[in-house]
Amino acid sequence: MPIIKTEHLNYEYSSGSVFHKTAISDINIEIEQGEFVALIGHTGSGKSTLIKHLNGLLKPTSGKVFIDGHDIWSDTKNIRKYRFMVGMVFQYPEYQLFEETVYKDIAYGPINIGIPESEIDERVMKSISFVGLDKTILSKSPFDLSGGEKRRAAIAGVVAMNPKVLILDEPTAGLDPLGRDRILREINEYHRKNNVSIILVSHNMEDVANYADRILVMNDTKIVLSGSASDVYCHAKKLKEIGLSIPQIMEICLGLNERGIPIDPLTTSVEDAVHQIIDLIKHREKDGQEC
Amino acid sequence: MSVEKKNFLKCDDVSFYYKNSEQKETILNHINLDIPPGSIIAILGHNGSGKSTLAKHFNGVLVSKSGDLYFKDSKIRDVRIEIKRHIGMVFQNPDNQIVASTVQEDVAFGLQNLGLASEEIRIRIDEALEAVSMKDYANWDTHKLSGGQKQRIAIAGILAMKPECIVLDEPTSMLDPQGRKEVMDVIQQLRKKFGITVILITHFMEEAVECDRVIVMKHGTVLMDDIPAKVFNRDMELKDAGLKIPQSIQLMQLLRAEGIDISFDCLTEAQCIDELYKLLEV
Repeated sequence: MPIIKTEHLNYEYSSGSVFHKTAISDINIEIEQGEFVALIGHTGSGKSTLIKHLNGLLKPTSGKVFIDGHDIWSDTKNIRKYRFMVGMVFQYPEYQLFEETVYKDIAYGPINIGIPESEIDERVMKSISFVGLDKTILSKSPFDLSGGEKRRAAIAGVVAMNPKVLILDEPTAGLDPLGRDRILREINEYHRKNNVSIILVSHNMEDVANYADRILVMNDTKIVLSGSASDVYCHAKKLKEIGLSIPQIMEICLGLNERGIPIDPLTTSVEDAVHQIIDLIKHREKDGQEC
Repeated sequence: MSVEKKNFLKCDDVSFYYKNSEQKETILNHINLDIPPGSIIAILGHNGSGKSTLAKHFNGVLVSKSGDLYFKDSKIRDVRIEIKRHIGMVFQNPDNQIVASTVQEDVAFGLQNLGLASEEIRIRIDEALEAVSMKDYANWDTHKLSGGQKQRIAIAGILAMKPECIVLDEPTSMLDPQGRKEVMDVIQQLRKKFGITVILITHFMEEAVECDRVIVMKHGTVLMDDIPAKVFNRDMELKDAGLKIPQSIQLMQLLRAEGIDISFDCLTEAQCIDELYKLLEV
């Protein structure tokens, strides 16, 4: 049974007024327990609206959301429970840090969902180590941390609630390249060790291709592509048309292929491109000698 | 070369730190830079390397604790108010920079504060919106714009003040690929069409590759200051500084390591395609 399932999900902003605007239309997705899914799309494609449905922050205009097999809107009294099962890390989560110390900030969520005090300490320690921060940081004010540390402390606060599904909206935005790699590796590690489902929202295919089991591509309120990284990359031209970037190495190979060089236009690794180019040069040298 | 050209924008041994009762945290450590007019310069560096702190010194938002910055032989610390007309700044978050409800009012905001005649303001708004390809949006509500459009409006607002230099602090990091491209095209135009000196702080190596010069910062010091071809050849040092070279350059380096003759000037995607096409065409 999928942990999250949507059926014909539609959402309209300002529904019923003259300003109404469809944000998502007819979304049908299933996410299995332990799956790592990336959700890609340009600004305004509907990604953020969709994820807000997956833990009941938005109520669909029509259609259903199931978490763990239950229709979450069948009884609105239970909605709180589902919000705890699906943890949400918003964009720039460091702006949501507010406590006096990092420890208190991480403990805030678990305390509020009624976790006994005896367990709080263990939860805080576990989540801080998951996001790769040192324990000495716990007594500091969150506002004294660097950008990358703040981001990780904010993620730790959500992880401490032990959600079954973790949704992250652009967790690497504004970080330097090594900081980006590091956060993605930590998320992946957390996912593997705990069999937690991950939904990672991003503009950047290059970032997610290495980690995601499945990529969902959104454009103009709908899911337009779905599959493994290589399945989705097969549609490189379509991705470019809808304003998404493809890895630079793929751009180069695609450009050469279009000019008649027999190189695989869907090459995704630099090493692979090097091999192909060297083979092509060797071939040409051999042909040259024969002439 | 005139004296003015030699001394356009300069950092002379600039240091900056925050100090509380217990400790002193150094953010900038003896920075020396000389930025010629009409150039486009990228500043790269890991989070916390001091890039943004340095940027805020260029137009007097922050003042150095020791050493001095000079703009055309004036100490910036002595002209902190006036300098903002000459050196404009664009920040990361598009939503924090829009002040008015329509596009043209937003662009007009800075001009009205300069006390210009209303005809002059009209002309400048039109020119600035034209320059960022947003003329058709003059009467739009600012909250209905995309991130890339908002950043272009922020740039137009600065451009309308006719500055000599614009400092952009990660102007594209909150934008999607489409928005990034729109904003980068405008930034390149600033120099080409208006001769404005551009200082671009970024985490995107692909953007730095297209600049005249790249400055790499690490822990508050200048680690490198050179043309892109030379900077991106020092990949181990860049990695140490928390950065990564673009795939295009990685490809060229690996091919060179295999003994293939490839020009060191080959950096951007388009240059790589041209170079490889020459090498592989039958």
